[in-house]
Order: sequence, then C-alpha cells, then structure tokens
Amino acid sequence: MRITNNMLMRTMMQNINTNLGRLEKLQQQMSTGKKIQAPSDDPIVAARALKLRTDVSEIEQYKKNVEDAMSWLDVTETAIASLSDIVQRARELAVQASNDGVLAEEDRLSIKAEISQLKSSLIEIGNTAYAGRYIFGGYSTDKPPFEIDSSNSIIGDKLLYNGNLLNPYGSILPPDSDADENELKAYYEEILKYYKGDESQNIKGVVGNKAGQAELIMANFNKVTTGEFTITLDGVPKLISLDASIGNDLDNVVSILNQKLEEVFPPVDKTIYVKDENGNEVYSETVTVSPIKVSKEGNRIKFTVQEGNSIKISGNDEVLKNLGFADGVESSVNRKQEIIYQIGVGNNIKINVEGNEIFGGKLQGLLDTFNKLEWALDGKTEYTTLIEDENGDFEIVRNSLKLSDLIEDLDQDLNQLLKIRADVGARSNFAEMTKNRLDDSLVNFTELMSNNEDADMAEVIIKLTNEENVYKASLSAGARLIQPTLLDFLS
Amino acid sequence: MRTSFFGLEIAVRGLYTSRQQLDITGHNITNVNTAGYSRQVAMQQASAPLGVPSGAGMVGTGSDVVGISRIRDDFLDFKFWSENDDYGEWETKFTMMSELEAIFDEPSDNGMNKVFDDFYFSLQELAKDPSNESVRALVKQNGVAVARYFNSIASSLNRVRSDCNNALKIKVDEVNSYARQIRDLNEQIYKSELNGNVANDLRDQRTELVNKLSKIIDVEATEIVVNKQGAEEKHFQIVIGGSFLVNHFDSFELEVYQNSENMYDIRWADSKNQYVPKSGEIKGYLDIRDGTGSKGEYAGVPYYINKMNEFARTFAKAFNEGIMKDGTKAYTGHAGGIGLDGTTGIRFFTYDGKSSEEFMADGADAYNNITAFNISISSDIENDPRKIATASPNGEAGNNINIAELINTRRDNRMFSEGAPEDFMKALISTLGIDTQYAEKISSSQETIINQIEHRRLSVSGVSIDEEVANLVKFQHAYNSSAKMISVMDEIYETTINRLGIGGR
Repeated sequence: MRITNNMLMRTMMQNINTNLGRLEKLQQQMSTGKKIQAPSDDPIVAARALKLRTDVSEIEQYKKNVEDAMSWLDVTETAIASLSDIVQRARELAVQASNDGVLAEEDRLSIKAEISQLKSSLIEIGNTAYAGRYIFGGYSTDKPPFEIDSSNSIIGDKLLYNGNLLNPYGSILPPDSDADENELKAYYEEILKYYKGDESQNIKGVVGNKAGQAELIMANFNKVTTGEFTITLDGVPKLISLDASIGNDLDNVVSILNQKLEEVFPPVDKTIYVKDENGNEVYSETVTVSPIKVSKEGNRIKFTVQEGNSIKISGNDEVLKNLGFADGVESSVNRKQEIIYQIGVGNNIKINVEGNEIFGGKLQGLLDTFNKLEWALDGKTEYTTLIEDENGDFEIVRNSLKLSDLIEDLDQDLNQLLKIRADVGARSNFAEMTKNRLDDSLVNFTELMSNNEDADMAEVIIKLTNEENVYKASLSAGARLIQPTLLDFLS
Repeated sequence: MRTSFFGLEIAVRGLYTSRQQLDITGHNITNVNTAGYSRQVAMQQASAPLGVPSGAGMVGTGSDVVGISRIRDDFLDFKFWSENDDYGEWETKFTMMSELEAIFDEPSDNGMNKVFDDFYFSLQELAKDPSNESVRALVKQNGVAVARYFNSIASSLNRVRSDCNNALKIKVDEVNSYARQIRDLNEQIYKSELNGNVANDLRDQRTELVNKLSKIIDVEATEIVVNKQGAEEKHFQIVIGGSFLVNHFDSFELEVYQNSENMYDIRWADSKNQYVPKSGEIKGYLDIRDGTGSKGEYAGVPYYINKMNEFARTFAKAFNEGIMKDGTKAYTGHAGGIGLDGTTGIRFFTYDGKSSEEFMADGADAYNNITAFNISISSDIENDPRKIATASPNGEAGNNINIAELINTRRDNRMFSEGAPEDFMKALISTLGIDTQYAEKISSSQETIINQIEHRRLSVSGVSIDEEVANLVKFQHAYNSSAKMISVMDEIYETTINRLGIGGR
C-alpha cells in the first residue's frame, strides 16, 4: 500500500485524539468521583443510580421520622411516669387518711388540699405539650385537651376532653345528707339539666357532648344546592332532600337539617328517674333526644350522633360538596385518633396515647377517683351515679363512699397507667430497634449507591497514569514521524 | 540520412519534458495540504520515431508529455458519499441527544430525584406536624419546585426543538449554496474539457463539494455520458430524493416553509413538492425535532416532551385525586382531604397558576390540559398554604391521615404503567441513555468507515513528499542530462562547423 504523508498525519491525529478522549473520560471520573457523567455512559448504572438515590434519601427520611417519634414517645413516657407518681402519692395520702382513725381536722384539711393540688397537676400533665403540640389530645394537637368544668357546683367537677364530657356517667356529688324533699327535687332537676344540657346557661349536656361519640365535621359550608343525599345511621340509610330555596344562611340551614333529620330519624324519649328503698319511682322526668343533632361550628356543619354508634354521609357529589361534605365519609363511636409516623416501607408507628385512654379507662376515670377522694375527705359518705337501664332510660343511684374502696380504685388506676406506660415503652423499644436497623440500612444502601455510581479511585488513578503514558508516547512517536522527509537527507 | 540538428532537437524535447514533469511535481508539492486534492502525474511517452530510409530500423525522436491525469479511485468517492450521509445523521443525533442528557441531568444531585425527595421530605415533615405553618410554607415551596422542574425541562426541551429547526434552515441554505457551486463548476469543467483535456483541479474541487454535501443530505452523484450531435459529452448530476438537485448546467433549490406547528418543512422551490430526507444531517435534525418514538419514528424531543407531559399529568392526577394510571381511585387524594382552614376539594397541582375551581371548570379535560410546560400549584395553595389538605374529615389540627396517604403516592407502583414516579423516570432515563449510546456507537462506527475510506483515498490520491522529492531529483537529473546533451551537441557543431575544413590552410 502506498503511504502518503497526510495519511501518517491523519492516523496520528486520530490516534492521539482517541487517546485524549480516553484520558478526558478518566480525568472526568477522577474529578467528579463518579463512574458515569451521562446516562449514555452506562444506562444501567444511570437507572440503578436513580433508584438507589431514592432509597437512600428515603431511609434518611425514615430515620428522621423515627427519631422524631422517639422524642414524642419519650415525652409521653415522662408524662405518664409523672401521672403514676401523682396517683402513688394520692394513694399514700388515702392510706394515711384511712388509717389514722380519727383524723385531726387540720391534717384532714391539709390532706384534702394536697389532693386538690394533685388533681390540678393531673390536668396540667394531661395538657403536656411537645414542640407546641398537645400530646394527649388525639388529633386536636392545637389546644389543651383537658379542662375541668366546675360550672355546676351541685354536680361537681367534670372533666372535659377536647370540649366533651369524658366520663359523663361518672360520679356526681351527692346531695346534702340532711336535704329535704324540695332540695332533693332541685338536686334531681340539676342532674336532669346535666343530662340534657342547657345552652342558655352554658351547661354542656351529656346527650350531645359525650367524648368519643360519632360525629362528622366537614369542610367549610358553601351553599345549598337542590338535590338529595343519604345519611346512614347505624346501617339504616335515609334520604334527605334539599331545595336551594332554603337559602344560604348557615343558622337556617342547620335548623332545617335538624328538622329533616328528625323526620327520618324520629326522636326518642328518655326518662330519668329515682327509686326509693322499696323500688317505687319517686322522681321521674322525660327528655326527648334526637338521634342526630346538627349544629354549627364556625363556618362548618357538624353532625353529632346522640343516639347510635355510626354515621355515614353519601350521595350526589355536588350537593354534599356545597354543604362541605365529601361523599362516603363516616364516623363511629370511639373513633381512634392515632398519630402515625412512617418509619419504613409499610412500617408505621403510632406515637401518641390518647388522653381518654389515661383519664377514661375501664374505671370511671382518674379524675373521678380524685373527686371522690375530695368528697370523702370532706366527710361525704355517698356519691351519685346515672345508670342506664335495659330500656335505655336512666336511674339516679346513690352509692356509698369509703376511703378503703378508693384505695382500691387508685390501685386500679395505677395499674391502668402502668399498662399504658408498658405499651409506650414497647413502642419506644420498637422505634429504637427500627432506628438501629435504619442506621444499618443507610450504611448498606449508601455503600450500594457508592458501588454503583462512584468511581474506584485506585483503579482510575492507575488507568489515568497509564493513559497519560500512552498519550505522551503517541505524541513523541508522532513528533518523530512527522519531521523527516527525503528532503532532510538531500544536500 | 538524419538532419544535422536532430540531436539538438531531441535534447530540447528532453528539456521540455523534464520541465513539465518538474512543474507537475511542484504543483503536487504545493498542494500537499489542499483538501480534496489528487496528485497529478504526467503521461510521458516516447515521441513518434522516424523510419530510416536505409531500412536500418526506426530512430527515436525523444519524449513527449501527452497528458496530465489525476490519480483518483472513483469507487472510493461513491463509497464515501454513500456512507457520509449516515455519519452526518447519527453524528447530529448524538450531539443533540447529548444535549438532552445534559437537560435531564441524571444521575445528579439536581435531577428529578432531588426535587421529588425534597417535596416528599417536606410532606413527611408536615405529616409529623400538620398544624405547623412554616412547614406548610415549605411544602408549598417544594410543590412549586416540582412544578418548576417540569416547566424547566419542558422549556429546555422546546429550546432544543427550535435549535434543531434553525439548524435545519441553515443546512438547507448550505445545500443550496453547494448546489450552485457545483453547477458553476460543471460549467467550468465542461468548457475546459471541450478540447479533450481533463480539468483535474476543478474536478477535485467538485468532488470536495459533493463530499461536503453528502454529509448534509443523501446524494446520488453520477457523471453520465451523453451523445450530443455525434459528440460525447459528460454531464454531472446530483439527485436527492428522486429529483435533480444539480443537472449539468441547472441547479434546483430547496426552501423551507412554516408548517402548522410553526416549524420548518422542506420543499422544492420551483415545484413546491415536499422533500423528505432519508439521511444526512438534515434527517438527523428532523428526527430529533419531530420524532415521537411511535409508529417507527425516532424517539426525538417530542417523545421526551410527551413523556414529561404524561408524567406531570399522571402525577398531578394521582396527587390531587388519588387516581392511578388504570383509573382506580386508590387514595382520597389531596382534593378529598381538609385543610387547616376547613376547606376541602382543593387541587394541589393545576396549570398556569389556576385556582382549583377554575381548573375543575375545565371538566373532564382538566387533567388533559396539564402539560409539563404549564403545570403549577393552584393559586389557592399559593395564596394560603393552610389549604394543604393534611386532614381526613373532621379536620382536627393534628389529623394527618390524608397527608400520610399522600406520602404513599411516592412509592405507589400503580401510578404509572412503569411503576412509581422514579420508575417512570428510570425508564425514561434508560431510554435516553440507551438511545444516546446507540447514536454514539453508530456515529463512531460510521466515522471509522469514513476514516477508512478517506485513508484509502489518501493512499491512492494523496501527495507523498518523499515520492515527489524523489521525482524532483529524478527529473532534475533528466533535465541536467538533456542540458548536457545540448552542450555535447554544441561541441559537436563547434567541431563540425568551425574546426572542419581548415586543415589545408
């Protein structure tokens, strides 16, 4: 083959270029530390990098979540420990009060004062906030969940949880032991008022304000549109039809909805009565209760189930949407308000303890025990309760009140707290374990990611040095090649 | 009997021949670096001999240069032209695809992952503290970043399209310019060759122009022999897409016109017939500009724009409504949740900054109207992050049920037919990577072929300095010898004319 000067030049340039190209690739790997600069360098590595990067950042997020969950659980655990301490102290005081036979007046008073003090501490701890959020309020983290309603001095202190009565059928302050017939009647009427509530006197009634009853509050009210929707109460669906002529005044809409609901779910009668020793009714009063009460909450409509366990709203999207409801939403008694943190794929942790678990519980509730302690130290020997009979009516019953019984109650309360504390502890452990596992995963996945996309520096350096040598060699070879022609050797 | 000065005559011929050979060598040497130049050689032969009347054979009369020809293998030119268009097409595609890779910027810390990670990161933070307004503002900002990510990719992709479009116009202008130059050369060559010569240098120039043209467009260049009034004429023709671009003394122009998409299409200037390129740089630009990746089309920018539109649309729908690719409603979606201010039915993502209500007024088309160009967060969220629907019905401040559901969309394999969002992106980036790699491979293998042909061409037609210098020496010696011959003849004449016949004086 005939070889010409320009062929040599071209071949040399091409080869030097190729070498330089390889050198550039390696230098890029060296300076970025990455195997690939663009997907076309290696599409498989690029695709895998995308996935692994997501995995790594997700694990980092989960780790952050689990750490936040642990802080929340720590605060919860501390709060519950303090509650246990308070109950423990109350028990000591109760034992002291019951043992000392005849208690000196000032001792009794000081014990009572301490019990009252402990009672308000209970509420304070119940309202513990972590980072501005109340930890025992369920989803209502924005306001203190617990409040003592002392508005009715005849009934005694009542515990409100998120604005509703936590233990509506708990103990009621008994009437004076020397009350006459009129005073007793007034007392019973007060209990009736407590049952049905009186908005004008700002008394919350048991009927519409039981904590944990089924209720639906939806988005802001917009307007009334002509059409129908269905309300299902305890599995019984009823059609409600609306006419745009109702107008858009929310108060009016609420009262019309109340009427329409009463038409389809007729109100039931509830009797509240008292029997004497011989079983004869000495007092009775009847209250009419609508199964569903509609009320206004700000600019929103609220459906409260007063009689029943569950409610569901469904139907024409347009009508519901304008009222502020979504199709198919439902609520039932004791709806759980669990705050869940995601700490892994399909791995969640409940971080909160709902206040009603602590202050409600199996007994009549923590506050009830403290109420009764106060009354007992005041010298009361009785307390009253409302008991639902087989007809759904209520009997007002008077029970005896003894310090020794109360010590037992306190023991049970303590047990309840211990159980919750154990549960929180178990969740803390789980979180801790998950965190350790996430730490490991983070290391593993970061390594996987690094293996996938990071350049092996030692290898790159060796290759780079090699390429540099090749490049230099090709340059010097080129220099020799280009220079001489026949001319150089002719004189 | 030979004439007296016959020897001098032969010597002069030798001088002429060597001079001409030296000139050609000089021409070759000066053109050693001229692009497309083919070395030239003189065709030297012995001039017609004279018969000796005595019958003692024929006497040589010296040498003659009968022609100058260029050393060129036409087959290599044809081969070059037929490969160069593919090289042009794939080199263009590779360049443009690399630009797309730069736009997507994956894998990196600024790509889709980062944007989505940040967005979902803020959602996670909000799930932990739904009432925190500063976290809500963060979610809003990161939502904007997601929308902007789509917007910026889409507008960058569109810029590539319009770059291709402009390049197309420039390339068409180049084709026209080459066509005119070739036509002019045809005329010059024709005229130069009327007397039977070969216009070596002009032909080299023409071949070089066709070389350049063949990269832009698929050319079929032929030189046909036409019998014109008994005389044979050579006509040079270039055919593209079945029509003449150049036919002997005529050249035809291509022109661009705006189509319905406001992009250029190519047609013949005189007939207005559309021209559809089969290969070459023009085809490369067209494929990148218009290829949708379906129906056998190349996966060019429109493919990626469509994919990003689909991504934006599907993601917005899944996030807003909880509706998956197959139409199932897997989640309540953002619209089904309740904001901190009690509102519901708010769509997080809309387009052109529309409010949720304006957006839904589009009816069934609402989501089809979302593209990667126009996706935005709704003005409701923009104006009031309290409307971010964290809660399920009843809407308590700490209720995080809805936002926890929304977070799950990140991993939901039902969102796209490809799977979760990053699976979609993974598939897209893989396609991009593989296609770019393919373009690079084809372009570099075509380049190798082209280089191979060029190499062979240089081997045949290239000027070798060594050879030329050797020739230089050779012809110089020949010249010197002829000159010597003259001086020898001179001496002979000196003797015969001046010295003879003086013996008797």
